[in-house]
Amino acid sequence: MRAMRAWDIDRLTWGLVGGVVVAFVASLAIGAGTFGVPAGPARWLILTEVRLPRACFGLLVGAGLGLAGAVLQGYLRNPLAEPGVLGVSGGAALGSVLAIHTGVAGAFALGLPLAGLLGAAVSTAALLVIAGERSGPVTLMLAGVAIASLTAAGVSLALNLASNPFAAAEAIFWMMGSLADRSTTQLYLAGPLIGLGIAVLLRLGRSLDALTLGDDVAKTLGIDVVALRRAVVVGTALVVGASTAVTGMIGFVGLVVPHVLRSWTEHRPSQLLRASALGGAMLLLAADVVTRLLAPYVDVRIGVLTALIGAPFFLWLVVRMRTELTP
Amino acid sequence: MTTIDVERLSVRLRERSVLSSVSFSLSSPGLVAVVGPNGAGKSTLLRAIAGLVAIDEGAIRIDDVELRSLSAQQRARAIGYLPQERTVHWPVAVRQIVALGRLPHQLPGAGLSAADQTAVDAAMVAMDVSAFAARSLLELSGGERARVLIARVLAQQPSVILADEPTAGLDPKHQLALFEQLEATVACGTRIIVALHDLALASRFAQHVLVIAEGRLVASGTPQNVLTEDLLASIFGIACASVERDGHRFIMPVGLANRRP
Repeated sequence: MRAMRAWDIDRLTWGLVGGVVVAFVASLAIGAGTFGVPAGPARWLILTEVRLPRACFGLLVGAGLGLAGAVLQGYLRNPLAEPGVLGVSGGAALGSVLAIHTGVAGAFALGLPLAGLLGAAVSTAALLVIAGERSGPVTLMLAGVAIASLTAAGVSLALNLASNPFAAAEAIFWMMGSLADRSTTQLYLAGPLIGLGIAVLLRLGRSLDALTLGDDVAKTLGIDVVALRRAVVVGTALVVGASTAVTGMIGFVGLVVPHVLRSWTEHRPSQLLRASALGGAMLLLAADVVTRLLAPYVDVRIGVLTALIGAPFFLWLVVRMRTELTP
Repeated sequence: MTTIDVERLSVRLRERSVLSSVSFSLSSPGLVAVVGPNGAGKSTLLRAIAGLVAIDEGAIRIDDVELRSLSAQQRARAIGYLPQERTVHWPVAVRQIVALGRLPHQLPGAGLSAADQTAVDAAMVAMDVSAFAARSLLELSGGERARVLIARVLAQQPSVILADEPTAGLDPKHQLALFEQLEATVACGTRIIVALHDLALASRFAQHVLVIAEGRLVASGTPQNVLTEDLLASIFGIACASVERDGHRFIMPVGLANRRP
Protein backbone atom coordinates (compact mmCIF):
# COMPACT_ATOMS: atom_id res chain seq x y z
CA MET A 1 0.00 0.00 0.00
CA ARG A 2 1.37 3.38 -0.95
CA ALA A 3 2.25 5.70 1.88
CA MET A 4 0.61 9.11 1.66
CA ARG A 5 2.13 12.32 2.89
CA ALA A 6 0.52 15.38 4.39
CA TRP A 7 0.89 17.44 1.24
CA ASP A 8 -0.99 14.77 -0.68
CA ILE A 9 -3.98 15.34 1.60
CA ASP A 10 -3.70 19.11 1.12
CA ARG A 11 -3.53 18.61 -2.61
CA LEU A 12 -6.57 16.32 -2.46
CA THR A 13 -8.49 18.95 -0.48
CA TRP A 14 -7.70 21.73 -2.93
CA GLY A 15 -8.50 19.46 -5.86
CA LEU A 16 -11.88 18.70 -4.35
CA VAL A 17 -12.53 22.38 -3.57
CA GLY A 18 -11.77 23.14 -7.24
CA GLY A 19 -14.12 20.36 -8.32
CA VAL A 20 -16.91 21.69 -6.11
CA VAL A 21 -16.49 25.23 -7.48
CA VAL A 22 -16.58 23.97 -11.09
CA ALA A 23 -19.64 21.79 -10.41
CA PHE A 24 -21.41 24.66 -8.60
CA VAL A 25 -20.79 27.08 -11.48
CA ALA A 26 -21.89 24.41 -13.96
CA SER A 27 -25.04 23.92 -11.91
CA LEU A 28 -25.80 27.66 -12.22
CA ALA A 29 -24.88 27.81 -15.91
CA ILE A 30 -26.56 24.71 -17.27
CA GLY A 31 -30.31 24.49 -17.48
CA ALA A 32 -32.58 21.66 -18.53
CA GLY A 33 -31.06 20.85 -21.90
CA THR A 34 -29.62 24.35 -22.35
CA PHE A 35 -26.22 25.88 -21.73
CA GLY A 36 -26.10 29.36 -20.25
CA VAL A 37 -29.00 31.36 -18.90
CA PRO A 38 -31.71 32.13 -21.45
CA ALA A 39 -31.95 35.83 -22.32
CA GLY A 40 -35.09 37.70 -21.46
CA PRO A 41 -36.82 39.44 -18.57
CA ALA A 42 -36.93 36.24 -16.51
CA ARG A 43 -33.18 35.75 -16.75
CA TRP A 44 -32.33 37.02 -13.26
CA LEU A 45 -35.32 35.27 -11.78
CA ILE A 46 -34.28 31.92 -13.29
CA LEU A 47 -30.81 32.32 -11.89
CA THR A 48 -31.75 33.37 -8.34
CA GLU A 49 -35.06 31.61 -7.82
CA VAL A 50 -34.54 28.38 -9.76
CA ARG A 51 -30.91 27.53 -10.26
CA LEU A 52 -29.32 29.06 -7.16
CA PRO A 53 -31.49 27.19 -4.63
CA ARG A 54 -30.98 24.02 -6.65
CA ALA A 55 -27.19 24.47 -6.69
CA CYS A 56 -27.19 25.32 -2.97
CA PHE A 57 -29.16 22.16 -2.23
CA GLY A 58 -26.71 20.15 -4.34
CA LEU A 59 -23.86 21.63 -2.33
CA LEU A 60 -25.43 21.22 1.12
CA VAL A 61 -27.14 17.86 0.64
CA GLY A 62 -24.14 16.36 -1.15
CA ALA A 63 -21.71 17.62 1.50
CA GLY A 64 -24.01 16.45 4.29
CA LEU A 65 -24.53 12.96 2.86
CA GLY A 66 -20.82 12.45 2.10
CA LEU A 67 -19.87 13.65 5.57
CA ALA A 68 -22.58 11.66 7.38
CA GLY A 69 -21.45 8.53 5.52
CA ALA A 70 -17.83 9.10 6.55
CA VAL A 71 -18.80 9.76 10.18
CA LEU A 72 -21.05 6.69 10.40
CA GLN A 73 -18.46 4.42 8.78
CA GLY A 74 -15.89 5.73 11.26
CA TYR A 75 -18.18 5.51 14.27
CA LEU A 76 -19.64 2.09 13.46
CA ARG A 77 -16.24 0.96 12.11
CA ASN A 78 -18.13 -0.60 9.27
CA PRO A 79 -17.34 0.27 5.65
CA LEU A 80 -20.91 -0.65 4.66
CA ALA A 81 -22.52 2.00 6.85
CA GLU A 82 -24.33 4.79 5.00
CA PRO A 83 -26.49 7.72 6.09
CA GLY A 84 -29.68 5.63 5.89
CA VAL A 85 -28.41 3.07 8.41
CA LEU A 86 -29.83 4.91 11.43
CA GLY A 87 -33.33 4.88 9.93
CA VAL A 88 -33.56 8.69 9.86
CA SER A 89 -34.00 8.93 6.10
CA GLY A 90 -36.64 6.20 6.35
CA GLY A 91 -38.46 8.26 8.98
CA ALA A 92 -38.28 11.38 6.81
CA ALA A 93 -39.54 9.42 3.80
CA LEU A 94 -42.44 7.97 5.78
CA GLY A 95 -43.39 11.43 7.05
CA SER A 96 -43.33 12.85 3.53
CA VAL A 97 -45.23 9.96 1.96
CA LEU A 98 -47.90 10.23 4.67
CA ALA A 99 -48.12 13.96 3.93
CA ILE A 100 -48.73 13.14 0.25
CA HIS A 101 -51.16 10.37 1.21
CA THR A 102 -53.22 12.54 3.55
CA GLY A 103 -53.15 15.64 1.40
CA VAL A 104 -51.13 17.67 3.91
CA ALA A 105 -48.46 18.08 1.22
CA GLY A 106 -50.85 19.93 -1.02
CA ALA A 107 -52.51 21.94 1.75
CA PHE A 108 -49.66 24.42 2.22
CA ALA A 109 -46.28 25.09 0.65
CA LEU A 110 -44.05 23.65 3.36
CA GLY A 111 -46.37 20.75 4.24
CA LEU A 112 -44.17 18.15 2.57
CA PRO A 113 -40.78 19.12 4.02
CA LEU A 114 -42.24 19.79 7.48
CA ALA A 115 -43.86 16.35 7.52
CA GLY A 116 -40.51 14.89 6.46
CA LEU A 117 -38.71 16.72 9.27
CA LEU A 118 -41.31 15.50 11.74
CA GLY A 119 -40.83 11.92 10.51
CA ALA A 120 -37.05 12.27 10.86
CA ALA A 121 -37.41 13.68 14.40
CA VAL A 122 -39.77 10.90 15.48
CA SER A 123 -37.51 8.17 14.09
CA THR A 124 -34.44 9.74 15.75
CA ALA A 125 -36.22 9.91 19.10
CA ALA A 126 -37.29 6.29 18.67
CA LEU A 127 -33.70 5.33 17.83
CA LEU A 128 -32.34 6.96 20.97
CA VAL A 129 -35.02 5.39 23.16
CA ILE A 130 -34.63 1.90 21.68
CA ALA A 131 -30.81 1.88 21.60
CA GLY A 132 -30.50 3.46 25.05
CA GLU A 133 -27.96 5.98 26.21
CA ARG A 134 -24.93 3.79 26.83
CA SER A 135 -25.12 0.92 24.39
CA GLY A 136 -22.42 0.34 21.80
CA PRO A 137 -22.34 0.95 18.04
CA VAL A 138 -23.75 -2.48 17.17
CA THR A 139 -26.93 -1.89 19.20
CA LEU A 140 -27.30 1.53 17.58
CA MET A 141 -26.94 0.05 14.10
CA LEU A 142 -29.39 -2.80 14.82
CA ALA A 143 -31.94 -0.34 16.22
CA GLY A 144 -31.42 1.85 13.13
CA VAL A 145 -31.90 -1.08 10.76
CA ALA A 146 -35.08 -2.08 12.63
CA ILE A 147 -36.46 1.46 12.35
CA ALA A 148 -35.49 1.66 8.67
CA SER A 149 -37.35 -1.62 8.01
CA LEU A 150 -40.37 -0.43 9.94
CA THR A 151 -40.53 2.91 8.11
CA ALA A 152 -40.07 1.11 4.75
CA ALA A 153 -43.04 -1.11 5.68
CA GLY A 154 -45.01 2.03 6.58
CA VAL A 155 -44.17 3.60 3.20
CA SER A 156 -45.27 0.41 1.42
CA LEU A 157 -48.52 0.41 3.39
CA ALA A 158 -49.20 4.05 2.50
CA LEU A 159 -48.57 3.28 -1.19
CA ASN A 160 -50.71 0.15 -0.93
CA LEU A 161 -53.62 2.09 0.51
CA ALA A 162 -53.22 5.11 -1.79
CA SER A 163 -56.63 6.44 -2.78
CA ASN A 164 -55.65 6.82 -6.42
CA PRO A 165 -52.72 5.82 -8.64
CA PHE A 166 -51.67 9.46 -9.04
CA ALA A 167 -51.02 9.87 -5.32
CA ALA A 168 -48.99 6.64 -5.30
CA ALA A 169 -47.02 7.74 -8.36
CA GLU A 170 -46.37 11.15 -6.79
CA ALA A 171 -45.03 9.51 -3.65
CA ILE A 172 -42.85 7.10 -5.61
CA PHE A 173 -41.41 9.90 -7.75
CA TRP A 174 -40.80 11.99 -4.67
CA MET A 175 -38.89 9.16 -3.01
CA MET A 176 -36.57 8.78 -6.00
CA GLY A 177 -35.03 12.06 -5.01
CA SER A 178 -34.66 15.30 -6.90
CA LEU A 179 -33.11 18.71 -6.54
CA ALA A 180 -35.42 20.21 -9.18
CA ASP A 181 -37.97 22.91 -8.41
CA ARG A 182 -36.87 23.48 -4.83
CA SER A 183 -37.81 26.95 -3.60
CA THR A 184 -35.72 29.43 -1.66
CA THR A 185 -38.24 29.01 1.18
CA GLN A 186 -37.37 25.33 1.37
CA LEU A 187 -33.72 26.31 1.35
CA TYR A 188 -34.29 28.66 4.30
CA LEU A 189 -36.07 25.84 6.12
CA ALA A 190 -33.65 22.97 5.50
CA GLY A 191 -30.38 24.81 4.81
CA PRO A 192 -29.64 25.92 8.39
CA LEU A 193 -30.52 22.46 9.75
CA ILE A 194 -28.18 20.73 7.27
CA GLY A 195 -25.48 23.34 7.97
CA LEU A 196 -25.81 22.81 11.72
CA GLY A 197 -25.58 19.04 11.26
CA ILE A 198 -22.45 19.45 9.11
CA ALA A 199 -20.88 21.67 11.80
CA VAL A 200 -21.63 19.05 14.49
CA LEU A 201 -20.21 16.18 12.43
CA LEU A 202 -17.06 17.99 11.26
CA ARG A 203 -15.90 18.29 14.88
CA LEU A 204 -15.82 14.54 15.51
CA GLY A 205 -12.56 13.69 13.70
CA ARG A 206 -10.36 13.31 16.79
CA SER A 207 -12.82 11.04 18.55
CA LEU A 208 -13.29 8.89 15.45
CA ASP A 209 -9.51 8.53 15.09
CA ALA A 210 -9.32 7.28 18.68
CA LEU A 211 -12.09 4.73 17.98
CA THR A 212 -9.75 3.08 15.45
CA LEU A 213 -8.26 1.24 18.44
CA GLY A 214 -11.64 0.27 19.88
CA ASP A 215 -14.00 1.80 22.45
CA ASP A 216 -11.91 0.94 25.51
CA VAL A 217 -8.72 2.54 24.23
CA ALA A 218 -10.68 5.57 23.02
CA LYS A 219 -12.14 6.01 26.53
CA THR A 220 -8.69 5.79 28.10
CA LEU A 221 -7.50 8.43 25.63
CA GLY A 222 -10.05 10.78 27.19
CA ILE A 223 -12.83 10.44 24.59
CA ASP A 224 -16.36 10.70 25.99
CA VAL A 225 -17.95 7.95 23.91
CA VAL A 226 -21.46 8.70 25.20
CA ALA A 227 -21.21 12.33 24.06
CA LEU A 228 -19.66 11.16 20.79
CA ARG A 229 -22.56 8.85 20.08
CA ARG A 230 -25.08 11.58 20.84
CA ALA A 231 -23.25 13.95 18.46
CA VAL A 232 -23.15 11.26 15.74
CA VAL A 233 -26.89 10.62 16.03
CA VAL A 234 -27.94 14.28 16.30
CA GLY A 235 -25.59 15.47 13.53
CA THR A 236 -26.67 12.68 11.19
CA ALA A 237 -30.34 13.24 12.02
CA LEU A 238 -30.05 16.96 11.21
CA VAL A 239 -28.22 16.38 7.93
CA VAL A 240 -30.09 13.33 6.68
CA GLY A 241 -33.50 14.29 8.09
CA ALA A 242 -33.45 17.79 6.60
CA SER A 243 -31.98 16.55 3.30
CA THR A 244 -34.46 13.73 2.83
CA ALA A 245 -37.39 15.93 3.85
CA VAL A 246 -36.61 18.31 0.99
CA THR A 247 -34.94 16.25 -1.72
CA GLY A 248 -36.25 12.71 -1.17
CA MET A 249 -34.05 9.64 -0.95
CA ILE A 250 -30.63 10.12 -2.53
CA GLY A 251 -28.65 6.95 -2.10
CA PHE A 252 -25.07 5.82 -2.58
CA VAL A 253 -23.46 9.27 -2.15
CA GLY A 254 -22.85 8.63 1.55
CA LEU A 255 -21.67 5.09 0.89
CA VAL A 256 -19.43 5.49 -2.14
CA VAL A 257 -17.76 8.86 -1.53
CA PRO A 258 -16.02 7.93 1.77
CA HIS A 259 -14.97 4.62 0.20
CA VAL A 260 -13.33 6.26 -2.78
CA LEU A 261 -11.54 8.85 -0.67
CA ARG A 262 -10.48 6.58 2.19
CA SER A 263 -7.20 5.39 0.69
CA TRP A 264 -6.39 9.00 -0.28
CA THR A 265 -6.71 10.14 3.31
CA GLU A 266 -4.41 7.53 4.86
CA HIS A 267 -7.52 5.65 6.08
CA ARG A 268 -7.69 8.14 8.95
CA PRO A 269 -11.31 8.86 9.92
CA SER A 270 -10.48 12.47 10.84
CA GLN A 271 -8.91 13.23 7.46
CA LEU A 272 -11.82 11.58 5.66
CA LEU A 273 -14.50 13.93 7.04
CA ARG A 274 -13.67 17.14 5.19
CA ALA A 275 -12.72 15.25 2.03
CA SER A 276 -16.00 13.30 2.03
CA ALA A 277 -18.04 16.48 2.52
CA LEU A 278 -16.31 18.07 -0.49
CA GLY A 279 -16.48 14.87 -2.54
CA GLY A 280 -20.19 14.42 -1.76
CA ALA A 281 -20.96 18.00 -2.78
CA MET A 282 -18.99 17.60 -6.02
CA LEU A 283 -20.65 14.29 -6.88
CA LEU A 284 -24.21 15.47 -6.21
CA LEU A 285 -23.78 18.78 -8.06
CA ALA A 286 -22.28 16.92 -11.03
CA ALA A 287 -25.00 14.27 -10.99
CA ASP A 288 -27.65 17.00 -10.91
CA VAL A 289 -26.06 18.68 -13.93
CA VAL A 290 -26.13 15.33 -15.74
CA THR A 291 -29.86 14.90 -15.01
CA ARG A 292 -30.44 18.32 -16.58
CA LEU A 293 -28.38 17.47 -19.66
CA LEU A 294 -30.37 14.25 -20.03
CA ALA A 295 -33.70 16.04 -19.39
CA PRO A 296 -34.63 16.71 -23.03
CA TYR A 297 -34.24 13.00 -23.81
CA VAL A 298 -35.15 11.21 -20.61
CA ASP A 299 -36.31 12.41 -17.17
CA VAL A 300 -33.96 10.62 -14.79
CA ARG A 301 -34.29 11.39 -11.07
CA ILE A 302 -31.05 12.20 -9.30
CA GLY A 303 -31.55 9.43 -6.72
CA VAL A 304 -31.85 6.94 -9.57
CA LEU A 305 -28.77 8.38 -11.26
CA THR A 306 -26.60 8.25 -8.12
CA ALA A 307 -27.68 4.64 -7.62
CA LEU A 308 -26.95 3.86 -11.29
CA ILE A 309 -23.46 5.32 -10.97
CA GLY A 310 -22.91 4.22 -7.38
CA ALA A 311 -23.93 0.57 -7.47
CA PRO A 312 -21.58 -0.57 -10.30
CA PHE A 313 -18.82 1.49 -8.76
CA PHE A 314 -19.43 -0.15 -5.45
CA LEU A 315 -19.32 -3.57 -7.10
CA TRP A 316 -15.96 -2.65 -8.59
CA LEU A 317 -14.73 -1.66 -5.12
CA VAL A 318 -15.91 -4.94 -3.65
CA VAL A 319 -14.10 -6.90 -6.36
CA ARG A 320 -10.96 -4.86 -5.76
CA MET A 321 -11.21 -5.39 -1.99
CA ARG A 322 -11.66 -9.11 -2.60
CA THR A 323 -8.45 -9.35 -4.60
CA GLU A 324 -6.61 -7.22 -2.03
CA LEU A 325 -7.80 -9.24 0.93
CA THR A 326 -7.39 -12.71 -0.59
CA PRO A 327 -4.05 -14.12 0.52
CA MET B 1 7.07 6.70 41.53
CA THR B 2 3.30 7.01 41.30
CA THR B 3 1.51 5.28 44.15
CA ILE B 4 -1.68 3.33 43.67
CA ASP B 5 -4.01 2.55 46.56
CA VAL B 6 -6.91 0.22 46.03
CA GLU B 7 -9.25 0.05 48.98
CA ARG B 8 -11.99 -2.56 49.40
CA LEU B 9 -12.67 -2.55 45.66
CA SER B 10 -15.78 -4.44 44.60
CA VAL B 11 -17.03 -4.72 41.05
CA ARG B 12 -20.18 -6.43 39.87
CA LEU B 13 -20.82 -7.09 36.20
CA ARG B 14 -24.35 -8.12 35.22
CA GLU B 15 -25.26 -9.00 38.81
CA ARG B 16 -22.19 -11.25 39.12
CA SER B 17 -19.51 -10.33 41.61
CA VAL B 18 -16.20 -10.15 39.69
CA LEU B 19 -14.03 -8.46 42.30
CA SER B 20 -14.86 -8.43 45.98
CA SER B 21 -13.17 -6.29 48.56
CA VAL B 22 -9.76 -6.14 46.91
CA SER B 23 -7.28 -3.96 48.79
CA PHE B 24 -3.61 -3.31 48.12
CA SER B 25 -1.17 -0.49 48.08
CA LEU B 26 1.66 -0.01 45.60
CA SER B 27 4.32 2.48 46.58
CA SER B 28 7.72 0.81 46.22
CA PRO B 29 9.32 1.04 42.78
CA GLY B 30 9.30 -1.83 40.30
CA LEU B 31 7.14 -3.70 37.85
CA VAL B 32 3.88 -5.12 39.21
CA ALA B 33 2.42 -8.38 37.88
CA VAL B 34 -1.16 -9.53 38.41
CA VAL B 35 -1.46 -13.31 38.13
CA GLY B 36 -4.36 -15.69 38.57
CA PRO B 37 -6.32 -18.37 36.75
CA ASN B 38 -8.63 -17.58 33.81
CA GLY B 39 -11.68 -15.62 34.93
CA ALA B 40 -10.11 -14.67 38.26
CA GLY B 41 -10.72 -10.96 37.70
CA LYS B 42 -7.27 -9.79 36.53
CA SER B 43 -8.58 -7.92 33.50
CA THR B 44 -11.44 -6.43 35.50
CA LEU B 45 -8.96 -5.13 38.08
CA LEU B 46 -6.96 -3.38 35.34
CA ARG B 47 -10.14 -2.09 33.72
CA ALA B 48 -11.37 -0.72 37.05
CA ILE B 49 -8.11 1.18 37.56
CA ALA B 50 -8.33 2.42 33.96
CA GLY B 51 -11.83 3.75 34.70
CA LEU B 52 -13.51 1.42 32.20
CA VAL B 53 -15.82 -0.42 34.59
CA ALA B 54 -18.02 1.09 37.25
CA ILE B 55 -16.86 0.54 40.80
CA ASP B 56 -19.59 -0.71 43.12
CA GLU B 57 -17.76 -0.22 46.37
CA GLY B 58 -14.39 0.97 47.53
CA ALA B 59 -11.96 3.48 46.11
CA ILE B 60 -8.92 3.73 43.84
CA ARG B 61 -6.40 6.47 44.50
CA ILE B 62 -3.54 7.46 42.20
CA ASP B 63 -0.94 9.53 44.07
CA ASP B 64 -3.56 10.04 46.80
CA VAL B 65 -6.06 11.49 44.32
CA GLU B 66 -9.37 9.70 44.07
CA LEU B 67 -9.77 8.28 40.54
CA ARG B 68 -13.40 9.38 40.39
CA SER B 69 -12.45 13.02 40.93
CA LEU B 70 -10.31 13.16 37.78
CA SER B 71 -11.71 14.49 34.51
CA ALA B 72 -11.55 12.22 31.45
CA GLN B 73 -8.58 14.16 30.11
CA GLN B 74 -6.71 14.19 33.43
CA ARG B 75 -7.22 10.45 33.67
CA ALA B 76 -6.05 9.95 30.08
CA ARG B 77 -2.85 11.83 30.86
CA ALA B 78 -2.29 9.82 34.04
CA ILE B 79 -3.22 6.30 32.96
CA GLY B 80 -2.43 4.41 29.76
CA TYR B 81 -4.28 1.18 29.03
CA LEU B 82 -3.27 -1.63 26.70
CA PRO B 83 -6.12 -4.10 26.20
CA GLN B 84 -5.59 -7.77 25.53
CA GLU B 85 -7.21 -7.74 22.09
CA ARG B 86 -5.25 -5.92 19.43
CA THR B 87 -8.17 -4.55 17.47
CA VAL B 88 -7.40 -2.01 14.79
CA HIS B 89 -10.32 -1.10 12.59
CA TRP B 90 -8.70 0.69 9.66
CA PRO B 91 -5.39 0.09 7.86
CA VAL B 92 -3.90 3.25 9.35
CA ALA B 93 -0.14 3.85 9.10
CA VAL B 94 1.93 2.76 12.11
CA ARG B 95 3.10 6.27 12.94
CA GLN B 96 -0.49 7.56 13.02
CA ILE B 97 -1.43 4.76 15.42
CA VAL B 98 1.43 5.62 17.77
CA ALA B 99 0.51 9.32 17.49
CA LEU B 100 -2.99 8.53 18.86
CA GLY B 101 -1.25 8.25 22.22
CA ARG B 102 -0.77 12.02 22.11
CA LEU B 103 -4.52 12.78 21.96
CA PRO B 104 -4.82 13.52 25.70
CA HIS B 105 -2.04 16.11 25.36
CA GLN B 106 -3.42 17.88 22.30
CA LEU B 107 -5.84 20.77 22.26
CA PRO B 108 -8.97 20.19 20.18
CA GLY B 109 -8.26 21.03 16.56
CA ALA B 110 -4.50 21.26 17.08
CA GLY B 111 -2.07 18.95 15.32
CA LEU B 112 0.99 17.29 16.79
CA SER B 113 3.33 19.75 18.53
CA ALA B 114 7.11 19.39 18.46
CA ALA B 115 6.93 17.76 21.91
CA ASP B 116 4.29 15.35 20.60
CA GLN B 117 6.48 14.44 17.62
CA THR B 118 9.44 13.80 19.93
CA ALA B 119 7.35 11.56 22.18
CA VAL B 120 6.05 9.60 19.18
CA ASP B 121 9.56 9.16 17.73
CA ALA B 122 10.97 8.07 21.10
CA ALA B 123 8.18 5.52 21.63
CA MET B 124 8.71 4.09 18.14
CA VAL B 125 12.45 3.78 18.70
CA ALA B 126 11.88 2.16 22.11
CA MET B 127 9.64 -0.53 20.63
CA ASP B 128 11.79 -0.89 17.49
CA VAL B 129 8.96 -0.08 15.07
CA SER B 130 10.43 2.98 13.32
CA ALA B 131 11.18 0.85 10.25
CA PHE B 132 7.43 0.31 9.65
CA ALA B 133 6.41 3.93 10.30
CA ALA B 134 4.60 4.36 6.99
CA ARG B 135 3.18 0.86 6.69
CA SER B 136 -0.36 -0.15 7.57
CA LEU B 137 -0.75 -1.92 10.87
CA LEU B 138 -2.81 -4.64 9.20
CA GLU B 139 0.18 -5.65 7.04
CA LEU B 140 2.34 -6.41 10.07
CA SER B 141 2.78 -9.71 11.89
CA GLY B 142 1.09 -10.26 15.25
CA GLY B 143 4.30 -9.55 17.14
CA GLU B 144 5.03 -6.36 15.20
CA ARG B 145 1.48 -5.21 15.74
CA ALA B 146 1.76 -5.81 19.49
CA ARG B 147 4.90 -3.70 19.61
CA VAL B 148 3.24 -0.85 17.71
CA LEU B 149 0.33 -0.84 20.16
CA ILE B 150 2.72 -0.76 23.12
CA ALA B 151 4.54 2.13 21.45
CA ARG B 152 1.15 3.90 21.36
CA VAL B 153 0.87 3.61 25.16
CA LEU B 154 4.48 4.74 25.64
CA ALA B 155 3.83 7.81 23.46
CA GLN B 156 0.97 8.70 25.80
CA GLN B 157 3.62 9.17 28.55
CA PRO B 158 1.24 8.38 31.38
CA SER B 159 2.44 7.94 34.95
CA VAL B 160 0.65 4.57 35.13
CA ILE B 161 0.55 1.91 32.38
CA LEU B 162 -1.90 -0.98 32.65
CA ALA B 163 -1.11 -3.79 30.22
CA ASP B 164 -3.36 -6.82 29.87
CA GLU B 165 -1.38 -9.83 28.62
CA PRO B 166 1.02 -7.74 26.54
CA THR B 167 3.14 -10.77 25.58
CA ALA B 168 0.28 -12.89 24.21
CA GLY B 169 1.27 -14.10 20.74
CA LEU B 170 4.85 -12.87 20.96
CA ASP B 171 7.85 -15.13 20.34
CA PRO B 172 10.26 -15.65 23.28
CA LYS B 173 12.73 -13.07 22.01
CA HIS B 174 10.08 -10.38 21.71
CA GLN B 175 8.56 -11.34 25.07
CA LEU B 176 11.93 -10.76 26.75
CA ALA B 177 12.60 -7.62 24.70
CA LEU B 178 9.19 -6.25 25.69
CA PHE B 179 9.80 -6.86 29.39
CA GLU B 180 13.24 -5.29 29.20
CA GLN B 181 11.60 -2.25 27.64
CA LEU B 182 8.94 -2.23 30.36
CA GLU B 183 11.72 -2.43 32.98
CA ALA B 184 13.43 0.55 31.33
CA THR B 185 10.15 2.46 31.38
CA VAL B 186 9.68 1.60 35.05
CA ALA B 187 13.22 2.81 35.70
CA CYS B 188 12.19 6.18 34.21
CA GLY B 189 9.50 6.47 36.86
CA THR B 190 6.40 4.99 35.21
CA ARG B 191 4.25 2.67 37.32
CA ILE B 192 3.48 -0.42 35.23
CA ILE B 193 0.98 -3.12 36.14
CA VAL B 194 0.87 -6.16 33.88
CA ALA B 195 -1.72 -8.94 33.93
CA LEU B 196 0.15 -12.12 33.08
CA HIS B 197 -0.38 -15.83 32.63
CA ASP B 198 3.30 -16.55 32.20
CA LEU B 199 4.62 -17.29 35.69
CA ALA B 200 8.22 -17.46 34.45
CA LEU B 201 8.02 -13.87 33.18
CA ALA B 202 6.18 -12.75 36.31
CA SER B 203 8.79 -14.29 38.61
CA ARG B 204 11.69 -13.01 36.52
CA PHE B 205 10.64 -9.41 35.94
CA ALA B 206 8.11 -8.36 38.60
CA GLN B 207 9.16 -6.82 41.89
CA HIS B 208 5.63 -7.09 43.20
CA VAL B 209 3.07 -9.79 42.47
CA LEU B 210 -0.67 -9.63 43.12
CA VAL B 211 -2.36 -13.05 43.05
CA ILE B 212 -6.08 -12.97 42.30
CA ALA B 213 -8.44 -15.91 42.45
CA GLU B 214 -12.23 -15.88 42.21
CA GLY B 215 -12.35 -12.13 42.51
CA ARG B 216 -10.34 -11.91 45.70
CA LEU B 217 -6.79 -10.85 46.37
CA VAL B 218 -5.11 -14.00 47.66
CA ALA B 219 -1.57 -12.78 48.05
CA SER B 220 0.47 -9.63 47.52
CA GLY B 221 4.22 -9.19 47.80
CA THR B 222 7.54 -10.05 46.21
CA PRO B 223 7.64 -13.03 43.83
CA GLN B 224 9.86 -14.96 46.27
CA ASN B 225 7.34 -14.59 49.07
CA VAL B 226 4.19 -14.97 47.03
CA LEU B 227 4.80 -17.47 44.24
CA THR B 228 5.34 -20.44 46.51
CA GLU B 229 4.75 -24.05 45.51
CA ASP B 230 1.86 -24.39 47.94
CA LEU B 231 0.09 -21.28 46.74
CA LEU B 232 0.51 -22.16 43.06
CA ALA B 233 -0.80 -25.67 43.75
CA SER B 234 -3.87 -24.38 45.56
CA ILE B 235 -4.66 -21.44 43.23
CA PHE B 236 -3.67 -22.77 39.81
CA GLY B 237 -3.74 -26.49 40.56
CA ILE B 238 -0.25 -26.91 39.16
CA ALA B 239 3.08 -28.21 40.37
CA CYS B 240 5.98 -25.85 39.73
CA ALA B 241 9.74 -25.98 39.72
CA SER B 242 11.85 -23.00 40.59
CA VAL B 243 15.03 -22.31 38.59
CA GLU B 244 17.75 -19.88 39.66
CA ARG B 245 19.88 -18.28 36.96
CA ASP B 246 22.05 -15.15 37.03
CA GLY B 247 20.47 -14.11 40.31
CA HIS B 248 16.92 -14.34 38.93
CA ARG B 249 14.32 -16.84 39.96
CA PHE B 250 12.04 -18.44 37.37
CA ILE B 251 8.88 -20.42 38.08
CA MET B 252 8.29 -23.25 35.63
CA PRO B 253 5.01 -25.19 35.66
CA VAL B 254 5.88 -28.89 35.40
CA GLY B 255 2.54 -30.65 35.78
CA LEU B 256 -0.93 -30.64 37.26
CA ALA B 257 -0.87 -30.61 41.05
CA ASN B 258 -2.84 -33.82 41.57
CA ARG B 259 -0.62 -35.74 39.13
CA ARG B 260 2.56 -34.57 40.72
CA PRO B 261 5.40 -37.07 40.11
